[in-house]
Amino acid sequence: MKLLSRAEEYILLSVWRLRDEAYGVSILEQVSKVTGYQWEIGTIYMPLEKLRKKGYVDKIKGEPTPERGGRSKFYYRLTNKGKKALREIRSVQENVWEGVPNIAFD
Amino acid sequence: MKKRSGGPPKILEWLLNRISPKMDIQEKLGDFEELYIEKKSLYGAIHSWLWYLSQLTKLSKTQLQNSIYGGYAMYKNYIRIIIRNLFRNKDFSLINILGLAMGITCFIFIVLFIIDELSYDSFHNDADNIYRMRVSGVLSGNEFDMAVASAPMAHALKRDYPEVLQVARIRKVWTDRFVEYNNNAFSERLYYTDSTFFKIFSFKLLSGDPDFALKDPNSMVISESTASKLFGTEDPVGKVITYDNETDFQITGVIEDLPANTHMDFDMIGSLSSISESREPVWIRHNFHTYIKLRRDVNPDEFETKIQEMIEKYVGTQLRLGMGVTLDEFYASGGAMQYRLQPVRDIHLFSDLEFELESNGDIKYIYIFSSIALFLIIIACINYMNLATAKSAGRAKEIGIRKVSGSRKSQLLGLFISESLLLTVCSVIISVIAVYLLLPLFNGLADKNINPEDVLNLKNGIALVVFTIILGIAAGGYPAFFLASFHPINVLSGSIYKMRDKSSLRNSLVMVQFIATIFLLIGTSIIYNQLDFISQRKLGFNKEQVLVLRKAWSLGDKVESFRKTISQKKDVLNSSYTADVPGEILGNTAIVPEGFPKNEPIILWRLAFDYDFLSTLEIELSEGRVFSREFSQDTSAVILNETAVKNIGWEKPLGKYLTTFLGSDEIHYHVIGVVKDFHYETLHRKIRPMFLTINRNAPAYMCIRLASGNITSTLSSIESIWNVFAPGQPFDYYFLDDNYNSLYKAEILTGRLFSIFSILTVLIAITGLLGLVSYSTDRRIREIAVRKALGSSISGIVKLLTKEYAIWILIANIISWPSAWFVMNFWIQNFEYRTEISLGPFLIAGAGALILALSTVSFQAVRAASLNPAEVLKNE
Repeated sequence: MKLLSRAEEYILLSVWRLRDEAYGVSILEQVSKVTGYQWEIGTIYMPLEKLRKKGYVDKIKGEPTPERGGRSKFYYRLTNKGKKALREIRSVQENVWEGVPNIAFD
Repeated sequence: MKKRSGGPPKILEWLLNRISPKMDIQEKLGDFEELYIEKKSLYGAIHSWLWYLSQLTKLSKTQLQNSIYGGYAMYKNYIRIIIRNLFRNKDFSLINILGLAMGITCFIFIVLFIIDELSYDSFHNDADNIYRMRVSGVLSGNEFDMAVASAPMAHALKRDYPEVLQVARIRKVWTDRFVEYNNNAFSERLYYTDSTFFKIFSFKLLSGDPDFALKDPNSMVISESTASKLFGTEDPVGKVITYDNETDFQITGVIEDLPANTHMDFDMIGSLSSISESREPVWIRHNFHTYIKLRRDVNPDEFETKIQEMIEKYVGTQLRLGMGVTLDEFYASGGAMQYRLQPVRDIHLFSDLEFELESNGDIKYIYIFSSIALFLIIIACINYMNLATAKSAGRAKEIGIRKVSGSRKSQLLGLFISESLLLTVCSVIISVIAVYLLLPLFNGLADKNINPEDVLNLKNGIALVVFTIILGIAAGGYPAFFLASFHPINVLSGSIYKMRDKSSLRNSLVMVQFIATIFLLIGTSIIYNQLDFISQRKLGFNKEQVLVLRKAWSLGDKVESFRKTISQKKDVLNSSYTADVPGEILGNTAIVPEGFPKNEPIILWRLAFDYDFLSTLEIELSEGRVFSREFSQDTSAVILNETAVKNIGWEKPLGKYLTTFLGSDEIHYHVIGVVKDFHYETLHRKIRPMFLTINRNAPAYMCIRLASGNITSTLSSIESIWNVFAPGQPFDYYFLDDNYNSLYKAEILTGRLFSIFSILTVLIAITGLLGLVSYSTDRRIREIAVRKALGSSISGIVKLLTKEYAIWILIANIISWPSAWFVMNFWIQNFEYRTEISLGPFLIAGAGALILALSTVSFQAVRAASLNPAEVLKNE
């Protein structure tokens, strides 16, 4: 299986953190918060779409809300396959970083 | 849905709608709006507006990146399909590619030819400001228009007009003379020029100082190849060479060999100060090619008007002194004179004056060849279009399936245009290879000197790429639209086969091809008719079997004994010295015939030769007698031609006299005979009034009439006699008919090119027709089978299939005949003596095209008609 890209990893983790509240705007805010810089809404759809195509997230149509001009929110939810991918990327990350003491960067 | 106030502007939402895939649009519109409203409340409308826009660009960027990745697979599939298609229809692809390649090859050659013709003399610095003086007018009823001007004109222009930056004169030596160094002698072409020559013309000096090389008398600049012939590896500068056995010149510089694209033609330049003629203040004798460079801001037309005053100022006084006429009297007697400017870059293509430095090209041929190039390309494109659309039925299913599985029309367009681009690229590659291979042949054929390196220089390369793309789109555009607009339902239900085929466009395209084909066939045969006319025409003298020796003067005073010696050979029938030979340039003289006022001279062209010239060339006498050695006063006798007698208006010319003037001396000639008109010059020109006299100067040529038989051995025995009489002098000869034929070089070239192009168009048109017919008979194969089953004969079916094409070809004839007549009539006006354009070539070309087309069609028709109906219909 192909590993997740960095952007996909962040977005997927945000979807997990947000649980039932993961839709475009909230994901954007979450990702921006944890990474510490402002992401743009225009750039998150492609990774989201790719994740959906790979089956890591489900896309669910929600109720229409007035602050969106009466349009529905589209919620994203992590699938089991998505969880597996996250686990895998985590272990890869840990392997990569293993044995590197903080002092090495002083 | 109702729009709430405060949301994003409609235009932005519309944009978002355009750029994102349909199914996700609600999500994005929602997300965007939510953030937009937040931004708006925080930072205001303009900020949020800009933010929305920037998000749109980011979104489209990510989508574009994604689609390129995804599109890659699609294009890979396209290329695979295209290549499979090419191989599946091998014969069609081959016809297509080769047809196109033929067309493109010719096109490239013609373009190279035209580029070369147009580049003449454009390499000089400030070429646009360099002009040649041209003197035209009427003298005694004879029009003249000369490339030469009088000796003092250049200096006067420079002195009187601040507009003139620089002037330079050329005095061409019209016959080649010998240069000698260390007993090494070569015949070379010499111009005398002013020292300012290199200030006007950008010929490159390899050694020597351009400002001083031609300053002193008897200095000479020679070309690189002359230098290596004369001096080998020695440094020529400072050496002294002997010119024409009498004058010594010091070499002061070496010039790069002349490029082919200049209207000049020389091996050596001597300083004009070496000859006294350059200093004579005579305004009424024109011998100097005069070039001026104008200031950039000068309007040449206004300047031309301005310098007419020179005629009154300078020519007027000399007319009065020399001929006793005032300028007003001269004008009153119908005379006219005008000084004109001729841009140096126009000389090669637009100038055909008297005394040109070399024979020039002709803009007419540029027009003719450009239209042929266009023809060929259009024909080749049409072929491609025809074959591609003809094959469309076979691909209809593919297109249907593609459409059903979601291909958009624009994608299909892309597919078909890339297919035609691929084919065009293949053809262009083949053509470029062909151009390189055929370049030497072309250079020989078109008398050009195009370097292989210049074929694909940067400019041409870019042009070729652009041309390829345009051609690919032009040829593939129509088939692409045609194919891409198939309706999937029609195609997949099979009803497209039942639809009436809209073939009128294809047929009219075939018609266009045949119009061009018939046109070229007619053109070719008219050109050959005229060339035939030229070679058949009685010239008034016999040009066959005449050997001409050049530089007869190198025999010195042994001319006559040389002539007597060779006359004893049994193969030498007759021989004579002469100053002029038919086909060379003639000089003219003003002459006053007996009974005419002294101030009304007429112009006669002068031919000077020895006693036996008329009999050697077999020129016929119409009255009187020829020159004879027995009459000592014949040195001051003259023979006229019929045109001269007619122009003077004499009833009985014999015994009358003519007067010419040499300075203040009058010389009288009495008329002893009249010769029948003969074509001294090309058939482009009317026969001019001529007077023939005995040559008193050293003869330039010797004409020898040979008996037919072993020319080679006669030639070598004459050469050995020459070597005895003129030891060390080169034996330089030609045959009169060869030289005479070279006068029609341009026409012979055009004839050759026309025949090649017409063969090509015939080939291309026939292959195109073959493709089209095989397609349409394939479509009608079931109809044919049913007809046959119902009792139709093969010939009946063939007639049915060919009838339609016969009509198209007939229409093509109707269109191309008048246009061919028009163009060829224009061409043939070049000749003063020409054949009638008869109906013959038209009928032959039309019938030929018809027969070719019908036999192509019948070939396919017979094949289709002889199929067994049971085989064809068994699946129904």
